[in-house]
Amino acid sequence: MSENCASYELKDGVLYICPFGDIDHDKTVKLRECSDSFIERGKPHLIVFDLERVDFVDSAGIGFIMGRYRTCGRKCGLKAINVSPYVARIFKYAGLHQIMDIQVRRDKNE
Amino acid sequence: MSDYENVVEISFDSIPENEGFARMIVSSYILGLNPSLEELQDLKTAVSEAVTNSVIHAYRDNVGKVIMKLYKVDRRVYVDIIDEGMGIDDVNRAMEPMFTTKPDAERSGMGFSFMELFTDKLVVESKPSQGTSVHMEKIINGNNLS
Repeated sequence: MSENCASYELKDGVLYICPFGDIDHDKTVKLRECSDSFIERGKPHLIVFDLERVDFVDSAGIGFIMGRYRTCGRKCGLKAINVSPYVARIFKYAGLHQIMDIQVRRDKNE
Repeated sequence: MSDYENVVEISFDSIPENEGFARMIVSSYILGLNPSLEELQDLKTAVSEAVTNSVIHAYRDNVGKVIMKLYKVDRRVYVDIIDEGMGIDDVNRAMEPMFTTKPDAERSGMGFSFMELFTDKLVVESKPSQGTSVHMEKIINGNNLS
């Protein structure tokens, strides 16, 4: 299912959130609303952020992920996949690797 | 400002969609310096943080003006983000990592940390009820590998 700036898929208790474009303050307002409605409905045991189509995340995006951890961190694991090397660097500065598994994608020209 | 090259000044409304607009402007501005992907990303992030602060904190629920000034000398790029919003009471405290006045709004408290981390120089000046100006400098060494 696709809503505005991300597609969402719930499969076997795993919620896949696949945003597209930059994850900034502007975007997180919508992302938060949709994500939380899927979390509430699906009660997932794992949330996977698929960042294949994301090349930019700032501190608001970090706040969005940390917020999901606070909302359901105890009951639910978090994971980020297909993370660009640049976004992974931001995640690392913010210490997100301490709360979630982060899988970096390989750049096409590598 | 006559010693500076290519002075650009833009004024825009403090609305969320202009956060992305500001990033696009600064990206275009430094394109001629052939920045590395990392340098480009760094400056975009720093600008995004400064503009977001103006949108969220300076004007709260109102819409005000944000001014972005870009200028450079050789490979040193200067970015000023200026607002006339509510200002910051205690700049040093606001710049502490993880400090936020809006924990319930899921702010990570890392805005100023990122501005500091991703630029070569950061100066923040603020006066309560008069506004805030963020001055950032970044040297763009570019892709000199090939």
